[in-house]
Amino acid sequence: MSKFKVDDSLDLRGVLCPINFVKTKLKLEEMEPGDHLEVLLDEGDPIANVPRSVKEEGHMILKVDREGEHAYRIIIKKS
Amino acid sequence: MSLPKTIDLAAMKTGGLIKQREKDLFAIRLRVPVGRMGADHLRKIGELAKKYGNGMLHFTVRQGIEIQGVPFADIQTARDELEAAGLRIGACGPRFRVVTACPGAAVCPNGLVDAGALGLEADERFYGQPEGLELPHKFKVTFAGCTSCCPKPQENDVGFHGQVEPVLFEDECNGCGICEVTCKEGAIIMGDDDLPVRNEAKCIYCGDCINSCPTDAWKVKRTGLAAFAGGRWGRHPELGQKLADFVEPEKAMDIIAGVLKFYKDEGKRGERLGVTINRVGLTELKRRVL
Ligand code: SF4
Ligand code: SF4
Ligand code: SF4
Repeated sequence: MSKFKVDDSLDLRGVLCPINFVKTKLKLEEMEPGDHLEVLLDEGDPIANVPRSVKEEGHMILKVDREGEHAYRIIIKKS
Repeated sequence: MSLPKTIDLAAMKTGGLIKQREKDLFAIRLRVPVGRMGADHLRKIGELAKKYGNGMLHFTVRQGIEIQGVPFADIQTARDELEAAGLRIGACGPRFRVVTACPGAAVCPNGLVDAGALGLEADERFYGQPEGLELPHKFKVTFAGCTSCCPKPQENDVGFHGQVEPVLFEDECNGCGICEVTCKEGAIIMGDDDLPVRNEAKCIYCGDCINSCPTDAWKVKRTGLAAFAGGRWGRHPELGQKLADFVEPEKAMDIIAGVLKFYKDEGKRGERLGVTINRVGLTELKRRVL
């Protein structure tokens, strides 16, 4: 478990690229600057692509931790 | 069949005309360096394919376009009209073939080098019969923008892909660990101090860590090209062997020129470069080219 607060959460395990990114982007749009969004992503393409796209949108990844054997939990800070 | 009087036999020898299965029908191969073409040219090709051919086009695996079903008697007129529109005829036979490339850094988010621009430069300089000398066999070159190698550089006589060496600015790292999970090679492990450690031996210089790092703590130390030589497909496929890492993009043309010279000097008629290298040795090729 990470030490960061969490304001909202999305479980995108089983959701394919780029839908997982689009859902993340839409959720971030509803949130306030500085808020933290927790997202669960599968290993492979999702964890390779979504954080990078989130970065390109100008938001900050604060932490990534393993979630079970085949997924990751990332914390995004909205810019 | 009778030859039309006006046909330019010398021009025919440079290639680009492919005899079809059907009697008296030819396909005209167009030269489309790096697979890039303006919409107006494409429209013109469509128009001429209907006027002279059977209305069908073939997109070749080397990013070219062939107009199918052109009757022998119409070849010269079709060629003249293509050339008047600024389109060029492609090569076949033992020549330096049209250079292929992916869109590279100019378009693709993964691109590390401008593969398209490098490909166009190589095509302008070497296409056909460089310096008027006959090559032992065909010679294919491609440029890939990154380590994903979409246009298959290792299957070409000379192939390049972009690469980048990352360097960590520790002060800027927030310890998130994204680079560790993003590196597909397992070359990055988060240390006990929450700083990533990169294992040089496992790193393939893809740059994914640089692209994924949220704080830009991973930065570009140097960008360049990995160069391969001797790859081919066909009946006896063989992958190209690594010539060098981190070739400066400006030096890519010198590498091609050097390999071509080696091939002309050492290659036996009808043998592809890879066979020549297997006979003469990669070390010798490197000694002469690098
Ligand atoms: S080789 Fe790299 S830069 Fe070129 S198209 Fe593929 S992913 Fe993009
Ligand atoms: S450049 Fe690629 S292989 Fe090397 S450490 Fe970074 S992500 Fe891993
Ligand atoms: S991705 Fe960047 S900020 Fe995160 S651990 Fe790696 S170097 Fe540090």
